[in-house]
Amino acid sequence: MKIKLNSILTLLVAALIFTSCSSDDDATPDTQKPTIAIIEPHNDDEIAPGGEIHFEALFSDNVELASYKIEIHDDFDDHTHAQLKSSHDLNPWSFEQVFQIPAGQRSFEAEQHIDVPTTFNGEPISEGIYHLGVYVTDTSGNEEQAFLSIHIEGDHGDEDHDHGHDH
Amino acid sequence: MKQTFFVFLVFLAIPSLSLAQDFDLEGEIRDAQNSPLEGAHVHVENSFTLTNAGGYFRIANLPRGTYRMTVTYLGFKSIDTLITMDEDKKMNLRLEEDTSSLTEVVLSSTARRSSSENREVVSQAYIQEQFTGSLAKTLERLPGINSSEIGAGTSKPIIRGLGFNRVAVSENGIKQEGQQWGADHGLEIDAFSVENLEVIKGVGAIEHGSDAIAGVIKIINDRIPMEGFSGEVIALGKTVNNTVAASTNLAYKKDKFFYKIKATGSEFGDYSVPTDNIVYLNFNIPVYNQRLKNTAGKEVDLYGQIGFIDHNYKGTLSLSNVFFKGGFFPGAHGVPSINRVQDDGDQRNIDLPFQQVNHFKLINKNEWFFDKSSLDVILGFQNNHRQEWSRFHTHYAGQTPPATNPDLELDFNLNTFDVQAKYTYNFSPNHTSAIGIQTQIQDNTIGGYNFLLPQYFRAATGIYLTHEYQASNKIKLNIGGRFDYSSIAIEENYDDLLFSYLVNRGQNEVIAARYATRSEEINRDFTNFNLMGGFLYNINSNWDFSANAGTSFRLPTAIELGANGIHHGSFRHEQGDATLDPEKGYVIDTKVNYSNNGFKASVSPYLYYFDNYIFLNPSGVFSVLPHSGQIYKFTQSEAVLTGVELEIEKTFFEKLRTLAVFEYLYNRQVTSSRSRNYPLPFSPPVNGFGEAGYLFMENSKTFNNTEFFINTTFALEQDRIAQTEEITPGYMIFGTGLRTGITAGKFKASLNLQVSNLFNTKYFNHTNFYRALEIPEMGRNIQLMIKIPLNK
Repeated sequence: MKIKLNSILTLLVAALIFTSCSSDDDATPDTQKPTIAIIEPHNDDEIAPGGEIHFEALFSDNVELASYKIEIHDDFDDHTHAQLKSSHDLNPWSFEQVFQIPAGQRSFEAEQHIDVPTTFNGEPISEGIYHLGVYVTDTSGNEEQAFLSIHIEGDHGDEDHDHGHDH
Repeated sequence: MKQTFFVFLVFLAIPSLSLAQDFDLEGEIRDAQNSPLEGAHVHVENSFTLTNAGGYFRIANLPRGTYRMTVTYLGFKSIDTLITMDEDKKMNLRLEEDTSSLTEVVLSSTARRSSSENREVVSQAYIQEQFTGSLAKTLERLPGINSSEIGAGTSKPIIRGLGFNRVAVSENGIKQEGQQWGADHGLEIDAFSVENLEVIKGVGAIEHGSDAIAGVIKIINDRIPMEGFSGEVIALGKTVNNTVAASTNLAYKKDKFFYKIKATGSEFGDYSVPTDNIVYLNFNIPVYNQRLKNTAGKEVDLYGQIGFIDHNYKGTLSLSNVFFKGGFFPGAHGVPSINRVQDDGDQRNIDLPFQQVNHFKLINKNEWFFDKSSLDVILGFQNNHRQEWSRFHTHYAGQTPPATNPDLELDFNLNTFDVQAKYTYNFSPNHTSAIGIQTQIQDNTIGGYNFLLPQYFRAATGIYLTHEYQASNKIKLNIGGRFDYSSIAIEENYDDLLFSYLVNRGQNEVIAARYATRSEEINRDFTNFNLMGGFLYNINSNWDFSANAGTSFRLPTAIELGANGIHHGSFRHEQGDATLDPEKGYVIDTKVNYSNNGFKASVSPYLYYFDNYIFLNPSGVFSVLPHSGQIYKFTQSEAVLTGVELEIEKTFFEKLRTLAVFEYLYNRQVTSSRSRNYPLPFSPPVNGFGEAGYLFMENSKTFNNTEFFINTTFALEQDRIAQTEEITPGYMIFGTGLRTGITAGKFKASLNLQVSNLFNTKYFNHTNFYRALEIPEMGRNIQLMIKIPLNK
């Protein structure tokens, strides 16, 4: 009886080992996310309507980068996205664009110039705190995101945005 | 019609009908108070039967001879005796309550197994004593069971890494239909009112149909109470979130009628975490006073039952209502923002955002017992009404708050009707067949200013046949087949505001219209055929072995088929696929048990294979919607899941009780490209539980069954993660406690004091919904439970 039981157990263990070890090793799935280092703008930078945002960031991945998305939207309600009492008076600007990263890159320096309009839908855009978000994917579908706050305000000197336009 | 039905059954049974010189044995099994015991196991040699509601049993056609007879019943001392059949016999037996046994906690019967199912039986006492905030969380200590938690009061059971719609939960035979598709909705069942519970792992689809892919959690709430008045009152307090809870279970039985009333109320504050800040993405979110803001909640549960028993009929009508209201951590409902988690000085308020669920249930269960057969008819109606409230917000201009309930974000109202019938026939002591039919109709309506789940109507019917054959006194075989037909109609949802927003932002109209179709109109029919087979081999008095193999399935949910848009709980764009097939699983589940003199061990290896496991897969394509990264599409892929569960129990000198439970699990997708064979999401790491208890003060007249215990829960690092998951480090936490019964004159009570996470360790649970937000598990908790029986 004991022998019989032992052979049953051996078979089971063998079956388990077979199924769990049959195809490991050489190509393990990539679960490592890309990384984002935003060089510009800095947190709490001020940009005037009509000016431009100079975006510069360094992306890297262990295998291969795929694409990135920049998104800018208002944070007037402290990110509750609640309808403010005076919301009908607000005319927030927003921006969003997807960029492809050339194939085969493990690290990539992204640089974009984003124009901040003075008007949207025929009205001046609302000034205040905006959120800038960056999303990066690699070719395996892993994704990383990073956010910072910027101030779109006209009254201040705009020394941050005097770069040359070389593209 | 009736005739052809019987002919069919006879064909199925391969009966051996030799009746000459055979005798019948019948009798009644009662407890010390003379109340009949329903469901007691009566074995005579290789024949087996269960007692009916009146405690009555009958085994027919026993040839002349001497037989070993055993009677077993949970919580009672077993009877093991020899009987001689030389005439028809009537035996009335009384079972004594088994109070000496400390293992009352988890009553995995020491008697021979009578079914091949991989089953764990849990008593009411266990659930009450181990109560840790919700039913699913309380079951975590069992091998192979984990839970997916959100906050303090809500969690869903996970069996072998499969959760949500992959675990069927039933009460008195009716499947609980809440909103299993989502992670942030719990199981709307009052943990304190559960009378008995069974977890069946592996093959569970034949009697439950869709959703039982991982297994079934069966709640049995129609036990016949003892004659007269009985009841208990429970009070519970917890420090981790200042829980105050009270529960009462009352029952009254006189002659043929019995009545039960159960009620539970609980209220809790924000729970404490051993950390001062949470680092999520590149945000640093402070946790003020180490209390996680807005995780307070309350629950009110009511239960009523009327039962009637007669010699050959038992019927119950049960009515229950579970109401739960609980806050969401604001950071879990949007991009985390520091201002939203500021301490408001109140740890017990439930602020926006919060959820509110009401689950109403009506079950009418009827059982008729005939000489060789029985008929069950069960009717059920359930209403699950769940709302998410969050201050009106919009992601695109132009949306105005609704005139009524402007802060009602999501509103789901699900009505489910069930009709079931099952006819069981004993052809001979060795052959039993059952045929059953089940129909379920679901109607889901939606409301609220946001959109997530479409409106739908679903109808499903299943027919099954099972057969059990006791081949010898050591070997039992069972087979079953089931056919299902179901159809779902999903309504279209088109978002005009989103369309104009996107066009306004410069999108072309075709793309804008595609995004604005939040769900398309979908009509799908599904057919399924499932088979299962199992055997149990009682090798000798110490060893038994069982194996089950079979298929099971899960109907794709309305979200998996039809959703398209941002899910605010997970903050990503999720897209359904109208062409998904039902998920189909193949299971092999085995279990070996050894028991000898206070030592018990079991090993349970298993293997699951899925034709088309449905999961959210990152598409690599960015969504044009604001606040979203790439689109996650519901995709199906072949997948494999395997593992082993171990359980060891040993009692030394009848004083020192030790217990160890261990689980190993491995799973992944099976695709043509090895580099795409990702592990499945929410997979528990290698984990285990160990406890040692010491019984003392055995001679005290005031204190009885006094036990001091220490325990530990551990998990290794989980680095086998799905895309977008985080690696979860391993941990080890400790607990301790004391439980005792008090008798002072006529007054009786039981006391249970325990401390969990004794050292206030900061750790993460890979299967927690909040894991993605880097929110640690609860800190140190001191819990006191007092239970006072009201029996005369």
